[in-house]
Amino acid sequence: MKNALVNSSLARGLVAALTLTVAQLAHAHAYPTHQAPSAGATVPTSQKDVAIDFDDGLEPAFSSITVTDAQGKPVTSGKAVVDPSNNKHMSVTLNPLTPGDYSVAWIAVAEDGHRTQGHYSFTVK
Amino acid sequence: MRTFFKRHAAPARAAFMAAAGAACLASSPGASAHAVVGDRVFPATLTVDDPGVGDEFDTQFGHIKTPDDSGNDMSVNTVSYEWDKLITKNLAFSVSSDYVSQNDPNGGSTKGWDNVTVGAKYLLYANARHEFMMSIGLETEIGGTGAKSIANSFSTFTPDFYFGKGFGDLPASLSYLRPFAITGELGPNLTTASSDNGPNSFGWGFTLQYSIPYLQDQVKDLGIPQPFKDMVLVVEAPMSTCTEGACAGQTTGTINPGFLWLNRYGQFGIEAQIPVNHLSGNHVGVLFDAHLYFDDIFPNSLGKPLFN
Repeated sequence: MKNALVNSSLARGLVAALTLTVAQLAHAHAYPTHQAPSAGATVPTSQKDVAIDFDDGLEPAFSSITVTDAQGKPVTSGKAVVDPSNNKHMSVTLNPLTPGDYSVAWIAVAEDGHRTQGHYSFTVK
Repeated sequence: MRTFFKRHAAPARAAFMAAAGAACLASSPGASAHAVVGDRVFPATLTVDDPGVGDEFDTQFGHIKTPDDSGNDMSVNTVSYEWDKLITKNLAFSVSSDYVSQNDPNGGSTKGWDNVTVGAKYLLYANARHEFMMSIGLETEIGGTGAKSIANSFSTFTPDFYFGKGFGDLPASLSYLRPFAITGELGPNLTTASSDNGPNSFGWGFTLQYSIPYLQDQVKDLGIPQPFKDMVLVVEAPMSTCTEGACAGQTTGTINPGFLWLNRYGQFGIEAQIPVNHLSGNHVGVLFDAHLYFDDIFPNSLGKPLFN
């Protein structure tokens, strides 16, 4: 009986916690849900940009994407832009690419101020 | 996992088991902060505390069969909780305990709350480039705060050192090893009891992790679908070596293979508990864990440091 009570209380507590969680889904650390090009991908020289979708809205002033070639030289034609109509989407336009390996480094500052970062490579053929 | 050894044991065995229990105590409620350093996320592991600090809440259920004093199996179920609260961005306080239900066919069945454990943990150093972080902490199990049939009457102090290292800095030729990480927790369990009743011990534990999200996002997108794409494969090894009394030199512990499933607001985990020797048990146990990231769920209230 005592166990049943404990289990029942625990179950109610968990349900309450989960309800609370669902009710307050608002902000979190932002992580990619889709990257184009993706990590380790091989793309043609016609690749025009790097675009990343995140699972949370971004603070444009502090979020960025940099793309560099094998020598570490930037190949972007401007600063990364957070889509005003969809602040989970950030992209940066690329200069014309030549075959080789490229590195992407992104920094995402979510609306609640949590900062995350990541980097990966892709190949142009 | 923590205290179920202690009752109904002969003195020498009790001393050893108490040491084992104390050591497990040091590591068992370790599922605290998930820690972010550079590209790496160290998830909250179930038995070996991660190297970071955070605002989090953890609850865990464990089941294992272990020998009683007569050598017969008794079934032990535990439900534990731990709440971690950031005081500053690098300093966290914690409180934890567990409810133990011990079913012994030889008449040793009992149930009740274990002692309350309070702790403080400080993040000493973090290196984003090398995905490395380390912390120090002090946990105190307050003797006499739990049920007499379950909990120790004495207190245990555990100064701990924690570290974590991700391998994202490996060269490109080893890129598929980058998702690996190791973490560890080391520290003595110093009791206020005599060496016969509660000998000191040394708790040590390590984890080996392989992060599927890290693989997909930072190394090679293999198109792994849900729910596997958000999993971290893990093997934990929480251990304890008795350092005094009749049990001095004896080590107990388990190897815990399992996985953690992470989402934006928390994580779930399942691990097996495989005893490393006869003293640790003869049967495989299981741990289930649910963990909430308060810093992500309540970023402007409960989930932020008291002092910035």
